[in-house]
Amino acid sequence: MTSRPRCVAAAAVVAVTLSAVVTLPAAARVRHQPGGKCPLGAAAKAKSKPVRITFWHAMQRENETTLQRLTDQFNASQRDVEVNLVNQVSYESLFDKYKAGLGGGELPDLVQLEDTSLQSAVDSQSVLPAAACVKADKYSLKDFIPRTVAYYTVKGTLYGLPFPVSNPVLYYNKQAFEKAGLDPEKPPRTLDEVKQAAQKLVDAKVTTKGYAIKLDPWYLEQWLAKAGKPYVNNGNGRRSRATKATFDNATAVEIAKWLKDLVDSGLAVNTGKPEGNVDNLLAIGNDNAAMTIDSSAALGTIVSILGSGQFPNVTIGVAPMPGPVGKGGVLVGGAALYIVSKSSREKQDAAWQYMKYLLEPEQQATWAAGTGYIPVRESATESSTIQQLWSTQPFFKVAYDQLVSGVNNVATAGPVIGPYQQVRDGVIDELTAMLTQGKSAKSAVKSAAQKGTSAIEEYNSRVGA
Amino acid sequence: MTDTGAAERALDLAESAPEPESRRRLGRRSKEALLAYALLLPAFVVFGVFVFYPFARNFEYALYRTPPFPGLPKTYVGFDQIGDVLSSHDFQNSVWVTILFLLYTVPIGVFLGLFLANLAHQKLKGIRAYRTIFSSTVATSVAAASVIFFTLLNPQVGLFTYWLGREGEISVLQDPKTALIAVSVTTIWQNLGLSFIVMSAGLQAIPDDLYEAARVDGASATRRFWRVTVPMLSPTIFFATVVGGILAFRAFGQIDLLTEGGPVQKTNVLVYAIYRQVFRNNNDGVAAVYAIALFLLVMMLTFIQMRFLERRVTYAR
Amino acid sequence: MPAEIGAIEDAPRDRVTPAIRAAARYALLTLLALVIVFPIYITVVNSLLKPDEIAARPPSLFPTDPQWSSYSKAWEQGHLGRYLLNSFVVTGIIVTAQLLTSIFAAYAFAFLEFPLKRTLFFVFLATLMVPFEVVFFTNFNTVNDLGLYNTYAGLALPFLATGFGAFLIRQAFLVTPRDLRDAAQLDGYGHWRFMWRVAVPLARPAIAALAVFAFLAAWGEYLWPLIITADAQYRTVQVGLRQLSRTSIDQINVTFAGIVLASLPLFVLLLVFQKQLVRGLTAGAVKG
Repeated sequence: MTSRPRCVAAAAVVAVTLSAVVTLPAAARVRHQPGGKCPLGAAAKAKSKPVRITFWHAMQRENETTLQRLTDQFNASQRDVEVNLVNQVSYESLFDKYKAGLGGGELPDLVQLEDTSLQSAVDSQSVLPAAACVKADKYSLKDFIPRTVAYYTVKGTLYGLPFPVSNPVLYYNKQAFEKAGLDPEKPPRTLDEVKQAAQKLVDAKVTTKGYAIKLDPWYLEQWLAKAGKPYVNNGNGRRSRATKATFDNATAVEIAKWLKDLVDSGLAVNTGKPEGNVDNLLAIGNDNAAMTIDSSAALGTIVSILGSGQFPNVTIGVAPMPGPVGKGGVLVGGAALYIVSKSSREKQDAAWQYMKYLLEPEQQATWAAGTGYIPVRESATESSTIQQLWSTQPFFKVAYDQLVSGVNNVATAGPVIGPYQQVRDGVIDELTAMLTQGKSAKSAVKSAAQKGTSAIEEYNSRVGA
Repeated sequence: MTDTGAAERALDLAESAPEPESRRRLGRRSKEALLAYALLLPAFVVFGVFVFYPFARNFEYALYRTPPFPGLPKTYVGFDQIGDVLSSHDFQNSVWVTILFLLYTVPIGVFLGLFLANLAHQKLKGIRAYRTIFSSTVATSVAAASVIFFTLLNPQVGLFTYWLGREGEISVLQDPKTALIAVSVTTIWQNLGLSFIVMSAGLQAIPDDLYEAARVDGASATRRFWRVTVPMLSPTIFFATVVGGILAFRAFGQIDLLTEGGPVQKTNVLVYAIYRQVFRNNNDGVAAVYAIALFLLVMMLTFIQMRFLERRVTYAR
Repeated sequence: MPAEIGAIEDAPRDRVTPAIRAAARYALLTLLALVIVFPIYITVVNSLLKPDEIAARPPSLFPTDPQWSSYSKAWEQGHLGRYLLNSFVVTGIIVTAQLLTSIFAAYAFAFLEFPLKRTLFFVFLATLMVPFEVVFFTNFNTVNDLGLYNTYAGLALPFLATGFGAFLIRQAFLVTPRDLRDAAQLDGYGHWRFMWRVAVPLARPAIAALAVFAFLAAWGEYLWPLIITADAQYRTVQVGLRQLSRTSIDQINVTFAGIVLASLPLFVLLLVFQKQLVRGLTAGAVKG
C-alpha cells in the first residue's frame, strides 16, 4: 500500500536532481549572419580535394534518375567538388529532417526545400541567401524566367534558386473522352466544363466517376492565384510578415462549392492526399475517372508508367489547369535550392558551384526533358533537346506556357507564410469535412481561413514578430 | 509491455527477500555497497538521461512558448499555454480519439484472444500447428502489419477495397466514418497473436480437475467456459485488458502509416498529435503539454493495475 | 438452470456424435486459421505477382507464374539489404546491452546489501511508469545535442536499459537456492565469479525470455528510428517499409516483397524460440 506515494516521491527526487545535475552540451546554435558572405573560390583553394558535399533532395523515380545523372556528370566534369545525393522521400519529411538538424543534428550542405518553406528558411536563419553568391560571382539572372526568381525573393532578398519548377495541369484520358463522345483535343478549360465532361463520362458509363480529386490545398492556392486573389495579407507576406489569411472570399467559396457539388452528384471521387499518393492517377488507369489535376512534375513518371503497357486503356492528354478566370496566373510551384550557412566555407562554395551547374541552360534542358519540370532558363527552351521534345510530345510544353502567360502581381507572386503546413492542414481538414461530413462550402472556407489566421498568429508570437 | 505487473510483484518479493547475514565486517560491507553501485550505474545513467531528465523537462517546457527554430529565445508564459491547450478543440479531440481507439481495439482483442485460446486448448491431433498460426501475427511488426493493410485497403488496387465493393469510392482510410475502424482492425489483427499467447498461458495454468468436476456435474461446453474458464482466467483477462489499454494509448506506427492522423483529425491520437506538434509545427512547448496528458492517462491505467494486484495479493494471503 | 438438465441433454450428444464434433472443431479451427493467416498469405502471393495481376479483377489468389524479381528490386532499389543489416546491428546492440545492464542491476538488488537499496529500487520501479512516447522528443533533442543523430549509437542509446529486464532477472535470481550461495562462498567465489558461474546459468530461462522479448521490441520499434535517422545508411527496416509503401504504390509487388523480407527474421524467431517468446510475453501475466 505504501508503494505508490514512495514510488512517486522517489521519481520526483531523481527527476529534480537529474535535471539540475545533467547538463547536456548546449545545442550548437545556428549563428545568424545577416546577409551572409559568399565564400567564393573557397572550394578550389581547399586543402583536401574534392570537397565532399551532401545534397538532400526529394526527387523520386525518373526525377531522381535524371538528377543522379546530372550529378554524376558534374562530379566527373571537375575535381574540386563531389556531390553526394540523399533522397529524403518527400518534401515534407525532408523538411522535418532539416528542422531536426537545426537542433544540432546532421544537416546537408545544400538543401532542396519546397516552395512553401521559404519563410521558414528565412526565419530559421540557417541559409546563405543566394543573393550573396549572385552578387559575389557577378552571376547574371537575366536568362531566368523572371517570375521564378521573384518567387524566392522576400523583402528584396533572393534566398534560394528555383529547382525544380512545376505547376498543376489537367491530366485526362483521351480514349475515355472519345468513348464518351467528347472531343479528345478539346479538354475542358473552366470548372463548369470539367463538370459537364464528368457528367458525360458518367452518363456514358465510360468511367465510374468523371474526375478524381487529389485533395491537396496547393490547388486552392493555385486557383486563387489564377483568379488574382492574394492568399494572405501584407502583399501576400512579401512586403512584411503576413498576419492574416485572406482567402475567405467568394472565389474560394465558389471553388469549394464546385468540389462539393462534383462529389455529391457522384461525378468525382476524393482520393485524398497522404504522402506520395498517386491514387488519383491510378484512378484514371483503372477507369474510375478520366480527369484529374496534378502537378506537371508527375509527367515524367506518368509517361514511363504508361510506356510500360500496363494501362492500354489510357492515352494521356495534358491541358492547362481549368479554373476561375481573373487577373492572375498559376504560381511558381516546386522547390528551391538553398545553401546551408552552417557548413564550412569550402562546402558553401562547393554547393554554389554545383547549384550553378544544375541551372545551366544545357542541364536545364536535360532536366526538363527527363522529368517534365519547367526549364527555368529561357535560353534552354531554344535548345534542340527542348525543341525536339516539345514538337514530339507537346504536353511537356503546357506547364511552361501556363507559367509564362501569367501576369506578375502580388497574387501570382504567391503567399509567403511561416506556418505554411499548419495553414494547409486547416484547409485540408475543412475541405474533407465539407466533402464527407456535409459541411457547407461557405462555412468550410470560413473556418479554414480562421484556422489559418490563428496558426499564423501563433507562429508569429513564437518567432517574436 | 508487462512492465508494471512484474515490477509490482518484484516489489512484493523484495519485502520478503531474506536478508544476507549481517556478520560481515564494516570494510567488507562498504566494498559490497561499492560493487552494488557500480553494477547499478549503467542502468542508472540510461534512466537518468533518457527517462527522468526528459520527463522533468516536459514540466518545464509546458510553461514556455517555444520558438519554431533553435537559436531563438523561448518565452515564459506560466500556465497560459497549458490552459490554451486543454481548452483547444484539437487537444480534446485527440484525447477522445485516443480513448475511442482503446475502446475499439482492447475489448475485441481480448475477447478474440480468449476465444481462440479456448478453442485451441484441447487435445486434438495437429493442434500445435493451429496454435502456431494463431500466434503468428506476433511476428509481424506494427509497420509490417500496417503496410500490409495499407496496400490491401488502397482505393484503386487494394484487394479489400474490391471485396468491400468500394472501388472508385473514397478510401476507407480517407473517410472520416471508417478511418479509425480501419486502423483498429489492423491493430487488433496485429495484436491477436500476443493476446492469444497470453490467454493460452493462462488457460494452461487452470487445473484440469476443475474441468473434470464440471464435466462430471454435466456442465455443457458453453457453461464450462463461462463458469470455469472465465472466472479462473479473470486475473489474466484483467491484466491483458490493462496492458492492452496501455499499448493502445501508446499507438503511433499504425496511425503514421495508415492515415497520418487524418481525415479531419479522426485518427489523431495523442502520440501522433505530439509527433506533429514537434516535427510539423515545431512547437515543443505545446507538445510537452500533450505529453503530460498522455502520461496521466497511462498512469491511470497503471494505478488500476496496481490497485488490483494489491487486492489479489491480500486474497492470496 | 439446474445442472442435471444439462447433463441429460449433454450426455447423449457427447456419445452419439464424437466424429462430427471433432470434424466441426477442425472446421472451425481451420476457418479461423485461414482468416488470421490470410493477410500474411496474400502478402506472399502478391509479392510474386506482376503489378497488373494484382490490380486485375477478379484478383488472382495464387501465383501461377511467380516473379521473383520483385525481391531483388526490393533488396536493391528498395535498399532492403541495407535496412535489414541496420536493424540487425541496432537490435544486436540493444539486446546485448539490455541483458548486461539487467543482469548487473538484478544482481545488486538480489544478492547485495547497500544503503539506499529500497530507494533505488523505487527509482527503478518509477521508470516503468514513464512510457517512451512521453519523452521521445526530448530524447531526440538529447541525442541530437550529443551529435549522434543518424548513427547506430543514436538509434540504440535510449534502449540500453529497461526496468522490466532488471525485475524479470531479479525474480529469477531471488530463487537461487541458499545452500548454493553458501557453498560458493566456502569455495571462495567472489561476487563476479558467483554471478557468471552460478546465478546467471541458473537464471537462464528468464534471461532467454528477456532476450527474445527485447529482440521483438527492438526489431519492431518504429517511432524512434523514424525520427532519428536521415538516410538509407542507418534507416532500419521498419522505417524502410514506410519508404517502400510511399514510393512504389504502382509497383505494389515490390512493397509486398519488402514486407516479407522485413518480417522473415521475426518468423524464424517465432518458430525457433517459441517457448522463450511465450515466456517473455507472458512474464508476470499469469503467474502473479
